[in-house]
Amino acid sequence: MTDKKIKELLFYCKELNKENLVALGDCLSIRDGDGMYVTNPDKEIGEVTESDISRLGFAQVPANRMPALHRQLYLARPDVNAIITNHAPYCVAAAKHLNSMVAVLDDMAQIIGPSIKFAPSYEPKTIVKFIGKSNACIVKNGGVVAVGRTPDEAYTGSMVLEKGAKAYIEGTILGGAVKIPFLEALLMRVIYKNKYSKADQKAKQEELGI
Amino acid sequence: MMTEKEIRQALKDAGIRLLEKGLTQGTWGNLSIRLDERHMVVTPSGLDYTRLTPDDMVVVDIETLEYNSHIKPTSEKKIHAAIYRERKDINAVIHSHPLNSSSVAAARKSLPVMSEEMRRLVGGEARLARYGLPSTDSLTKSTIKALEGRNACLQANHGLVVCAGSMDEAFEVCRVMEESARLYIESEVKKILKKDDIVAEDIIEAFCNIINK
Repeated sequence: MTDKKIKELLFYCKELNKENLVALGDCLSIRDGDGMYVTNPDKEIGEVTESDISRLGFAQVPANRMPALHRQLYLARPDVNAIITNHAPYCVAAAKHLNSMVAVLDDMAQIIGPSIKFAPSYEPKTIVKFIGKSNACIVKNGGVVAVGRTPDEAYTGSMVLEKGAKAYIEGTILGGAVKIPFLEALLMRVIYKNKYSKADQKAKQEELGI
Repeated sequence: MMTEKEIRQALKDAGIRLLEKGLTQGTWGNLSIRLDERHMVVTPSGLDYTRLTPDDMVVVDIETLEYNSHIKPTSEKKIHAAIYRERKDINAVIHSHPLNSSSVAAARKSLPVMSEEMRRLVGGEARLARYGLPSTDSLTKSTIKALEGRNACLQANHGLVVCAGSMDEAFEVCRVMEESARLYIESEVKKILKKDDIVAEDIIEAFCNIINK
């Protein structure tokens, strides 16, 4: 299973880099029992190799703020098995120029929820509070923290949030991005989490032993 | 005429192509090919295209929506079936969520004709189907109406539906829609910034101009 988890992290490092969603300082992790495998945030995501991935136990607080944030999220959210911190360009623009952003696309409503919260800082307890039970939050003047039941879900959440931010920004340029009614967005989120994605995510969790 | 076996493989290949072309993310989007006058073969619900096998595709009756499989077909099967019922010339349908088309759909705008290629492949302006929750009758009806005389339409806050005589042609329609959506967004950015040429950063600048007014 260890080998599979490391391979999974390396695969998503490549994908995130290919999609230009990451910057130096970002990192990916996957839960491993009472600890996590995490990439070195001091290494460009596109250049991460197996030797840049460490296993850190939850008993110790890592010195680097990003792995420390990942640890805190795993401790607070037993349902979370993977975390991606990224700097997707449209999300970074939203983080700089907005204080809130509603879902203007169905897939964002489903994976992220009716809106995305903006945390004031990367401080671990603050992120835990702002992310709540959702799959992501944006950090004001920073980037994105995305979580999932699997690396695939955290990655898809990162992609869908970036698409949601792009649609919000470009929709505004086209005359105004129209938000999805709150109750309908909430309904879609519940159906996605409890029904639509359940079998797919369960199969992926079993494969990775998480 | 393709056999059922060939159609199953074609859908598997088209699912991968949809991901590789960046036309959808994760398990989103769905595809179908007409099998005969009464049946279509569709992709299943909620499964990752990279993990699907041809055996996972589901044969669905386009009149009754009945299927004989332990695997559930896409929850958007109503839209696919309605298109095949209404349009005898259509043999392939793609429902996807490409980036630029989704931005236009988020603004609840129709996509004007941006090129002669778009006019030829789509049949004119791509209309907007009014907003409806996924897999509802309301969304199906508004999509069919928006597709009248067209090979593509946008769905408000949702994505893109295209149809064509073959899967290859349907991908061509997707491509031209996505390119046209990009041109439409860029044309609005140029108007806002009063520039003839723009770079990627100008999109954010145009956005800031609007929100800071």
